[in-house]
Amino acid sequence: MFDNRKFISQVLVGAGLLALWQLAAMSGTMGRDLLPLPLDVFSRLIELPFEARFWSALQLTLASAFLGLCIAAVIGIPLGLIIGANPRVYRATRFLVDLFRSWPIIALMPVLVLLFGASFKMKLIMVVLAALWPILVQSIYGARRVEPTIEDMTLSYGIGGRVKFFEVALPNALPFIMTGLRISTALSVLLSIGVEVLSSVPGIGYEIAIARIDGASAEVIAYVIVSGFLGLTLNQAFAAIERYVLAWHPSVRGETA
Amino acid sequence: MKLTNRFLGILAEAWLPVALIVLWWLASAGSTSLYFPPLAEIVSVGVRDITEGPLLSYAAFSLTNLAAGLAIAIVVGVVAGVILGSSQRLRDAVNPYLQFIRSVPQVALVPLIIGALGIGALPKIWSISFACVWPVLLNTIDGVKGIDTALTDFSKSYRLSKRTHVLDMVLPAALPQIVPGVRTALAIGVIVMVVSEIYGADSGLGYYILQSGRNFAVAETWAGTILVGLLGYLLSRLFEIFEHFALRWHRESSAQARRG
Repeated sequence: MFDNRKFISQVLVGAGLLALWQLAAMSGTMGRDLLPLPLDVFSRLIELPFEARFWSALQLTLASAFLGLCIAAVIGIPLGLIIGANPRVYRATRFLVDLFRSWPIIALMPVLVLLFGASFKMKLIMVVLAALWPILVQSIYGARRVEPTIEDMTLSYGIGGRVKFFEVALPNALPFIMTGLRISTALSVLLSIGVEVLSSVPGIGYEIAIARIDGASAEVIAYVIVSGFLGLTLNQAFAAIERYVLAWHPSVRGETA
Repeated sequence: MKLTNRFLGILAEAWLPVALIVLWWLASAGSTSLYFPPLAEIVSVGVRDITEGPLLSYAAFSLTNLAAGLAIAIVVGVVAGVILGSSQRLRDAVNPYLQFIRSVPQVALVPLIIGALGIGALPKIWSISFACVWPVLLNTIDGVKGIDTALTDFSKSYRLSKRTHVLDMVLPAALPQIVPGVRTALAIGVIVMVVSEIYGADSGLGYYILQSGRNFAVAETWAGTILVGLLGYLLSRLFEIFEHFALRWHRESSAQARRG
């Protein structure tokens, strides 16, 4: 099961990258400002978990990303299913959905700072505004892709209302919704950190911005690495949830429909 | 008859957006709120700053940075992707590092790059290309990895040169995967472009939005925000058109294959 050669090659690549980093930092061609010594970064990384400030930053970033994602899902999934199920509504909203899904939401930040100040609320609204669109788009897509046999069956059995929504429309669109949620998870972390970097709202991004202003480049890289682990963990967690939620679906069961 | 159908089709899609704009125009007319100036004022300020003001040169600054950053990302991503995609052992060796670095939220590096290298165009181009390279790279790897072994065998038996094999066999076969990667990269690139200009710049659309907001010139802030949004939309539509033509042969040949 455990592939020895693969593992050795991975360790070798890691050591090579570290050596390259050490050499580049020592040569000083890029400046200590941009590239600190690896040892300085790792010692900061080991110290961080013992600092209360680190945990509160991590918690604030996660809270805005997670809460924003949930709000976006609660709005986006039902709205998308409704839009997708009604051809008239779909056509009327198509341009607007297309427009906003490609709108760089971060450009709205200065306006929102004027309206709500540099606050957690502002950050949360930004996350919701960005995370909403992939979920909405995929829900619409899922609702529009009902197989004719399923459509006929719900019609002939006279299934409608709540039963139709929860037992037919939602499961049918679920694989698409999960794709939307996965895209939005990455986006919500991106937006949280982006807003924190650009405004003075506390969180991981804010720590990066202040460390940068203080010229503490080891701290900057340490927090960038933390943000990478955050992204990676969320990705993996999401993949696990997706496998669990879609366990019944042919794409996960590995059968051809 | 056909013309009326077409007209009705456009009407079915256009009525809501038009109604919303009219509603916004009417509701905001005569507004004295600092934060919600009349739409008429936003439009006139926008037109003024495009024709006489700095907006056009700011937009040019932003878009050249985006184009340059994206171009670097595509070249690096495709070249590295072809190399990694062709060798399972190489792929295994770098995979954990690749998975990690692509999980770093791309905006986290903006302070570092711009803070250390200054607020000019070049650091922005680096930020954008660093953010955009990962989706291109990962999609290229997937595309190259998935190439039918028959293609490789064909090149071998006909003794095609490495160059011909890569340019005429591998790249076209991987293109249907590479193009969506570029589309993702474009969306990320626009975000990083705006972030890098809000973080530190003396030109560009993000800078315009930030400065006007700080000076409480709210109509300008709205105008800049709307302009960035329209640009984002326009770029993604243009890319869709490009994609349509770039992958036409692929759609046609796979449709043919389905027909048997």
